Amino acid sequence: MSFIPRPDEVDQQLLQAMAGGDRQALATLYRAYHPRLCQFLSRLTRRADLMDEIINDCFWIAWQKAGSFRGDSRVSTWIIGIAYRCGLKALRREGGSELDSLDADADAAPPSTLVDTPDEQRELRDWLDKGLQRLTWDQRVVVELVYAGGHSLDEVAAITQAPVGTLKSRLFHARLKLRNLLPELAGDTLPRKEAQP
Amino acid sequence: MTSHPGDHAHIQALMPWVLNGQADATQQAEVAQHLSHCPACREEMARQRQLQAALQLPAPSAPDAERGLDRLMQRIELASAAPAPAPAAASRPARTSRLSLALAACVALQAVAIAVLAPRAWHAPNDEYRLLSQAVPLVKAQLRVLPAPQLSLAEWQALLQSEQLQVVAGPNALGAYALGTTTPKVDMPALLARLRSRADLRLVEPLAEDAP
Repeated sequence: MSFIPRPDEVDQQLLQAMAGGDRQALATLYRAYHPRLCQFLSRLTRRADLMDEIINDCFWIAWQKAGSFRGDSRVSTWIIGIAYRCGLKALRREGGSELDSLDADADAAPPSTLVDTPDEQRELRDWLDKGLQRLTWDQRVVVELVYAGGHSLDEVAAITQAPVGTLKSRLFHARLKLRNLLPELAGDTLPRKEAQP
Repeated sequence: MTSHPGDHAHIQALMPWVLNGQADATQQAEVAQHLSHCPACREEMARQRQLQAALQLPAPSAPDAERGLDRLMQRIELASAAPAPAPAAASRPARTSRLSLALAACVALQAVAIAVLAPRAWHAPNDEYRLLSQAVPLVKAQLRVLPAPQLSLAEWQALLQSEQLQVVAGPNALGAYALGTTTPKVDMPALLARLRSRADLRLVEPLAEDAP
């Protein structure tokens, strides 16, 4: 599932309609962002009930604050920023254990079509799970927002309220960890095999 | 990390932005030019591309969108019908104080109503008398509950008593109540879970303290 950037004007119009109490606009925005938020939140938690609650809180706030959106950022940045803060709040309330690590998910639903075969997908997901487990949750968030979300560094800073320098450092260390931890896995599917240390 | 144009580290740091489309034309050309003669960085690029592909797999165990949307609409419906807090209200401090005032007014009104309408039915527990001029302990509205039609008054009262809950406001047009707990340090997630597990409550929502 690759997220094609949504035209910001469309989202802005939806927010304007929401500010005027248009629930149909809210439903449209909700449906449009649900898959993306699920994917983003899956870097913070594997619990579907918690994701559901966070998304509910996120759109509850978006509904209330739609009128105060001033267009300082893209709507997508604004919404994901709200989801991020709702997510941290929910996870801290749950005791924060989810923030430390993600348990490998044995019961994962079979994903849809991106890679050719289910086997390849499973392999890719296993590879990712092993890698992401070694990252801190804030490194996972940056990796997700940059590689999957397609956000710029400034947008990631707006979402996470973290300084750009800190984010650069998180991304750098995440790349380093993934490279050191995943060479043999990557080597299986890449044309060239890197020399093992 | 000191990096100069052409450095492996510099090129590798640009790769995420080339892959996610945020790199400008100069950066893209710089990376492409370097990759053309550097096998190690080509390998790193392939690994980062692999990472991007893996991250774009759909989330496992994602919740159902339509059910989530239904819940959100119910929450909004309930909030718009209930006395507080109003959606699209002003900034948080203003809302909090206005809410507190509204709740104080509700409690005071309840006390007056009880005194006027049912003086004989009113028995203070343990034979203690509370004068109307004495301060009424304020219970903060913490959750909103919509009882199912089959819930009898006796069951409702037993529920409130066993969970140490009080009605702060309601019922509204939908039949929902704003409740507060008299327990000073209530385990709210556990309380919500207990209430939500009951078939005779159709909706149980925390009254959010607003944005995090």
